[in-house]
Amino acid sequence: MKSEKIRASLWGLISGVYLMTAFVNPYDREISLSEVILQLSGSRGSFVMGCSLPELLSYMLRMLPCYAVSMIWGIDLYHHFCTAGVYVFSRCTNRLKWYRSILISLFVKVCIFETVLTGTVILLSSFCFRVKFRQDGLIILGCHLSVFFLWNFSWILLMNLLALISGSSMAAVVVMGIQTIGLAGLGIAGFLETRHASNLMIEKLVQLNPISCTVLGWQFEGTYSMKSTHALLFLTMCCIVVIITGGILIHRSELLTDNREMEMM
Amino acid sequence: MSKLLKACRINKSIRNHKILTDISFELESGHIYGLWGRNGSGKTMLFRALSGLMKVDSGSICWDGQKLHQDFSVLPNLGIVLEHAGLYPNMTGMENLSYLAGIKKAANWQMICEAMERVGLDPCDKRTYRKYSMGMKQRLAIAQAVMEQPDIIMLDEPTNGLDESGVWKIRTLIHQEKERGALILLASHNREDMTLLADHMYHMADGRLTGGAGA
Repeated sequence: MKSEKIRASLWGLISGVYLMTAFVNPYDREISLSEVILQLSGSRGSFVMGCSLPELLSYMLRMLPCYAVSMIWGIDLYHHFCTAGVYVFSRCTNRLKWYRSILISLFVKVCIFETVLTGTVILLSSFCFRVKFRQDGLIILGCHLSVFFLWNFSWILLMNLLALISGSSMAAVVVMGIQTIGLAGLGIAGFLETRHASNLMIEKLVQLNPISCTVLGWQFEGTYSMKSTHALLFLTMCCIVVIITGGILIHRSELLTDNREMEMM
Repeated sequence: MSKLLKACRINKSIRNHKILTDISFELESGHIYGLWGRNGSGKTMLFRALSGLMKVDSGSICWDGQKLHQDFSVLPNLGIVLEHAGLYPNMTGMENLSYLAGIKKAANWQMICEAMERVGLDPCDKRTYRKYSMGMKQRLAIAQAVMEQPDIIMLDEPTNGLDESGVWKIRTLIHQEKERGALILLASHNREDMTLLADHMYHMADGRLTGGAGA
C-alpha cells in the first residue's frame, strides 16, 4: 500500500507539471487561484464549446492524466481475480468486506493523485506567476477536487468491473469509447448551437453528458444552466451506482469460472 | 472429535456442458483422500465446488453439519491449491503469503516462515514470484495452503513440477498435516502418487465418481 501511495503521488506530480505547463496561462503574469483552477478544467476565460476539432482535441489532451490513471488502476481490483483469485476468495467468507477494502484503497489513491496534481499546479503557478488567492478561488478549488475525484474514481471502478465481465482490453475500449463519445457529444451540442436549435434541447444534451460536469467554467458562469451542485450530484449518483453494481458483481461466485483472461476449465 | 465433509448428489453444468454429475461422498477429518482421474475428468471443478468457489446447480455440500452457501460462502478454514492458479507476480514469496494471511489474519509472521521452510523455500528470498521456477511456485502454493493450519486441505496435482526432494518434502508435509487432524483431499492423474499417500481413493471420469475404495 505504501508503494502504491508513492506511485499515486508520483503520477499526480507528473500530471501536475504537464497540466501546468500545457494549460495554465495568465493574461498578464498575474492570475487568480480561481482562474488557475478554471483553466485546469478546460476554460480559457470562458470555455468555447463548438464543433471545433482543436477545442475538443485540446480538452482531450487536458484529460490525458485521467485516461492514464484509468489505465493504471483500471485493473486494480480485476488483477486479484486473474492472478490469485482462488487463494484470495477461498479465504473470503465475506467478499463484500474484501470489496470494501479494495474501494478504500482506490479511494485513498485517487485522493492522493488529485490532491498532489492540483497542489503541484498551484505550487508551480505561484513559482512562475503571481497567484492571487481569494475565497472564491478556494470554493472553486474544492469543487474541482470533488468533481475530478468522483470522475476518476467512478471510471476506474467501472473499468475494473467491465474487465471482470468482458476482459481488460474490452473494458479499456468501452471506457475510452464512452468518454470519447461524451467529448464528441459536446461537439454535437456546439454544432446544434450554430444551427440555431432550441436552447432547451442543447441544454439537456450538455447536462446529460457526464463529461460536461468536468467543465467548471460552465458551472460557475451558469452556461447551459449548469450548476456545480448539479454536476456534483450527478457524479455522486453515478459513483454510487457503479459501487453498488460492483458489490453485486463481486458477490457472484461464478466469477472464477467466467475469467476471460485465463479460461479455466 | 472428527468432522465430516458431505457431498450429496451434486451436479454442475457450464455453458450446457455437464462437468459434475451426481457426486456423493462423505469425508472424515484426520484422513487423506485421493481423487484419481485423467486430465479433464472434473477433479479441479469438484475442488472448486467443494470449496465454495463455484456454486453447484443441485445437491448440497455440508461441513460439520453446516451447509455451504447457506451457513458460509466458502468452506471455513480451508487451504487449497488449484492447478494453474497463480500468485502475485510482482511480490516475493513472503509478501504473497503475508498478503494472503492478512485476509483472515489467521497466520502470523512466524507461521508463514515455518510454512515456507516446510516446503523448502527461503522466507528471506528477495526474488519476486515471477522469477520463481515452476517447482518453487508449486511449493509456495502449498505453503499458502498450510500456513494457517486449516481444517481442510485440498491439493490439486500437489507434486506437479517438483523434483525428487520436493516430492519427498511435500509427502512428509501431507502426512504431518494428517497427523495434526486435517482432512486432506488430493487430486492427481498420477495413480502412483495417490496410492502412496491416500488412505481412501476415488476414481473420477467424465465428471462422475466411478469408484471408491480403501487404498
